[in-house]
Amino acid sequence: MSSPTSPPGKTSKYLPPAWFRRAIESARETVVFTDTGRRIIYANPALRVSHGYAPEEVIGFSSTDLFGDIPGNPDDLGPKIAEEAVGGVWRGEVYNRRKDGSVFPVRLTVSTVYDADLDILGYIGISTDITEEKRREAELNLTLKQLRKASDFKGEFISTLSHEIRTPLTSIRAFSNILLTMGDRADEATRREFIGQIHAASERLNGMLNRMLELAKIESGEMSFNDEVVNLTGAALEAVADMQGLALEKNVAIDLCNPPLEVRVVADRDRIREVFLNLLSNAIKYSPPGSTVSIELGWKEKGKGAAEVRIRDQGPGIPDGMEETIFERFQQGDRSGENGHGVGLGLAICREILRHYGGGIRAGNGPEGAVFTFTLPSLT
Amino acid sequence: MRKNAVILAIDDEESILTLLGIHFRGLGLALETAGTGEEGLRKAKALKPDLILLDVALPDITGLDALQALKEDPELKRIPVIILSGYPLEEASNVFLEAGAADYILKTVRIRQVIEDVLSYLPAGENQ
Repeated sequence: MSSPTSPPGKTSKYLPPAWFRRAIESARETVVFTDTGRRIIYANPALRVSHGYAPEEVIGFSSTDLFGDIPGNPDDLGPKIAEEAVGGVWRGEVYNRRKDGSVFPVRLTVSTVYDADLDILGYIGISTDITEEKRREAELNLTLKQLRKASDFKGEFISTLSHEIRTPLTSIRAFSNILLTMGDRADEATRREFIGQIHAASERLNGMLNRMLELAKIESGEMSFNDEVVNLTGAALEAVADMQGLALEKNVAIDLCNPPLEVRVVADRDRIREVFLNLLSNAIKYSPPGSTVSIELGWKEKGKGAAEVRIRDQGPGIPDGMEETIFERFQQGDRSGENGHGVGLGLAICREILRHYGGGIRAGNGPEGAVFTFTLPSLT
Repeated sequence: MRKNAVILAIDDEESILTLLGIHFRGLGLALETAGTGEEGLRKAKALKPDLILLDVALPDITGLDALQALKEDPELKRIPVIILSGYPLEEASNVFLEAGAADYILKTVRIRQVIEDVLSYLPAGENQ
């Protein structure tokens, strides 16, 4: 910063009437006069609030001392402003520097001051601190960006959803239509078969709706969690028992590999079982007949308070590059909602439940098939 | 022969009883279960098992009370009692061992290890 020099000799020429001076001194905006060489010859008391300087401190400063060398300001800002202000006015937003070195944005208006002979006496700069304004603007931009993203997402969601709904709906329409058309001509077996198809499709729709509502509830924080101490081994055992029917149907074995008697976590028992059920039904769904789904249960590192569960299948594995996206809504390995109960919401629900408890889930491929690993903070 | 051995597990957590049951039955051993201390003592008297697995935290009486009751009964006091505990505390372990427990096994131990440990306490076991 250049050292203040004494005001130029012509100072008296600028001395305004007392009332005028009072007016300028009362202004909330920072008012700075410079001479033609852009040296400050006057600053009003607002400068103390905006820049941290007493007005007399800056007399003799170059105007550049207030805004020079700040990244974000154009180079040669001082001369540029002076050049453009001649014959008119310069308006813009620039950064200024306070006495303590901190930088802040201002809205600045610079006009040229002429004497009666239209000779240039100097310049008057009026500036307002717009830090708060900028902050709000940034906030608003962020909100806008989020809104746009949400809106894009909504559009995409609705289009996927319509697709997912249409598949079972087509079944319902087609089979009910045939039944109506055939009337009495349909024999009992056919009628039963078609009604069965209609029922299965409506069950799928109902399941999908429930899962969507559940996911929305978890995401909006409206889901109530009844937390208690839960033995993960027990939850796994219960889920295995629940899945036994599906496993038998598909001729898939479920192996709970040598678990500890007890892995204690604090969580909602039903939600934890749901995580197991979702992962197991997925694993069974993609398992070839005669294969095994295995559950490994333990700790990430013993004594570190993080339980880790690994569910492996011997299926085709997760397609390359989908390890992350399968946790998004309506993302499935094979994109068909017809061959299983899942419609691509199960993994999204699992992830939300685990995140709620400070845990997480990841997917990958092992030597034989897909591997899902989830973690949960544990008591043991 | 160990094949005819009867094991009584007293624990209020059903999944632990289920897990123990699956593994013992897989070895051809009979597992009897009880969910409370009172039921456990009753079954112990009636069955005279070869070994008792006892949880430290039961819903009615404490595991220690149950252990003492077993050890005070002249008909039952010779049956080895293995304590199952979720608490890795040496003090707790000492209290049970002094009260006559054969062993103090943590529930964080994996099931196969638990089974192996338990088998070593069975009288006339092949592994002894």
